[in-house]
Amino acid sequence: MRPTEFDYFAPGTLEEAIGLLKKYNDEAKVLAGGQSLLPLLKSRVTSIPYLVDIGNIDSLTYITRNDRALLVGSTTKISALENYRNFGKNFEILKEATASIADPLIRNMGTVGGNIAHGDPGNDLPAVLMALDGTVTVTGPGGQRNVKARELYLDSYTTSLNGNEIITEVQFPDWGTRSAGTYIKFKKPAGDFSIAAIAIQLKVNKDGICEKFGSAVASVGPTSIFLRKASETMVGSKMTPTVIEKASEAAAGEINPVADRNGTVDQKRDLVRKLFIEGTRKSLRKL
Amino acid sequence: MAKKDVKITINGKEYSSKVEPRMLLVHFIRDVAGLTGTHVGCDTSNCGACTVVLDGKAVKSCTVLAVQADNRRITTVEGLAKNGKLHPVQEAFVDKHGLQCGYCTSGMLMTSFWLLQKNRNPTEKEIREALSGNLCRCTGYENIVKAVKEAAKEISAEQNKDLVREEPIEA
Amino acid sequence: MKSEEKFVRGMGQFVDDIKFPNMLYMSVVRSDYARARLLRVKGGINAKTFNHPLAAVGEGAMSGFERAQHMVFASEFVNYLGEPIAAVYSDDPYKSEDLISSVEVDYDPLKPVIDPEKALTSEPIHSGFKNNIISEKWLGKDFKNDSPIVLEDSFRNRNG
Repeated sequence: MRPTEFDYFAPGTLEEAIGLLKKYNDEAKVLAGGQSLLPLLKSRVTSIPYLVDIGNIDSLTYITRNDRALLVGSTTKISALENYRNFGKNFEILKEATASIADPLIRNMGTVGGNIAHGDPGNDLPAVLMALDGTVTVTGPGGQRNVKARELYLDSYTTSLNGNEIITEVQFPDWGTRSAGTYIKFKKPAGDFSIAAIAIQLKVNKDGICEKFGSAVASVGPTSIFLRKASETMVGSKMTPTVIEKASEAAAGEINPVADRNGTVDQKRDLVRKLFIEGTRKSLRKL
Repeated sequence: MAKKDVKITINGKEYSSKVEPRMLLVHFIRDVAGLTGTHVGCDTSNCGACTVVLDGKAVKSCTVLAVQADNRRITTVEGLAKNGKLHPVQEAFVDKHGLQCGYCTSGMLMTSFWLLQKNRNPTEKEIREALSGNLCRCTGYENIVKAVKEAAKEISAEQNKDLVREEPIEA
Repeated sequence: MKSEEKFVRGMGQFVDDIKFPNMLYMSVVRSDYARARLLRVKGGINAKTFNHPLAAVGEGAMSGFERAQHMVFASEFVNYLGEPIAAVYSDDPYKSEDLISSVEVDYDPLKPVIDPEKALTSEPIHSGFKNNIISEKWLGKDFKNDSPIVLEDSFRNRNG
């Protein structure tokens, strides 16, 4: 299983990389860790004439914080983020999600930006970023812009980026005090992709009322899905079992699963409903 | 398709070649460097038989392009023994029968080698998690886990030997 | 050297580790369908130029089962997904894989029978066969129908 022929570039700077993408336009694609792209090339599911490897652009590898968010350079390896020591309580959702991606060897090569940009509905970080209401910085020939995760995905393997743009930073918002989150991945029997996975982050005020709630799911639609209705149901409530149940039913209705050997449409809806309840309960216990 | 000059250091030795960019690192290791201890097992990046250590991190060499490893350092199974003497992890796999057909073994050894470099005394859970990207169809993993634990003990013992000073016994 | 020591040193000689001078690398063109009529095959080495059975495979290797021989390359029909149709060769394994797309195959896809009980009564998939039964076995001797308890069941081996 070997890829078809392609031309390869390894620019040392972001400007060079963008210049190459602009030059080769539709025929060029970014190579980051290659852990999603190379398997597609090896199986010849796809064929790309020009690969622009951004793995040598050191300026894109970093993890820092400001008072509002965790800022991760897009070529940061997933294992580096997984082993980050300064997560704190507010980013347990991220710690849990990164540790669940594929296996340690894949995580040593795969990048955070790649996991966000690839657009496979089975990727884990998009749901986390959506739950946190995070953003990505996109850099292209025209400059930089920020895109909300909840608006980034148009279809399977299709983001709102145009072909000349690169995700250069991922911003995971810090929800501050009285906040907690969870990532639960219900895996397929073989391999490390999920039948469904849920990301939940919540925040309560001094009186225990839900101030903010974000939930998103992977693998049950053509893209990861932000559970808007379910999240809105929770905000302003006391998050009692009744409210959680009501929100979980909303969640089950917001997804678009396909029936396959892993379950019927109804079974998958039921799975998401249950994951929502479990994820919320786990998060509440962490407060 | 323009070929690329790559220079990859494997087990301390430099290998230079002009390669097609699509050449996988595992094929560079096996066919250009002639080191066939690293194996191709699955075609789907699942099995880990191709595991090598690249710049200090265990990776699946079937899912890395040779050009991505240009100017980098790699350790393969052939680089574990020193002057013919088996590395403790290799000895432990023999001692604890951590292999049967031997096909997954080089991958298991390289991931275990990487694990033990960053975690001197891994628990069974940590060993199994570290090896979750390496599949074995023969052993059922029990003896592999035992081998890694044994290797951890051996490596610690070797490292502690340097710290032990012999005190004269007072009569 | 004990074989275990050989393997931990990476010195096992598995088939792909064996190298000869002037080696060629083969890639196989395989059926995209579980059952189809092969209308046309052009390119590579195929059943037209190489019309031989595999020397030994499964039931066909046992005496009495010669009629269940498996031809190296499919000709009139393909009967399983991945059945070999042609082979291509190159001195470079990457180019060998590229050559797969140079072989032209036209299929007339047919509906495969995938239930064994239906296969008992459906049209034979191999020409010259009366039915789709390769072998039939009775286990045990002195089988009498007048036993006080008769148990009958069918068992599905969950292999996929």
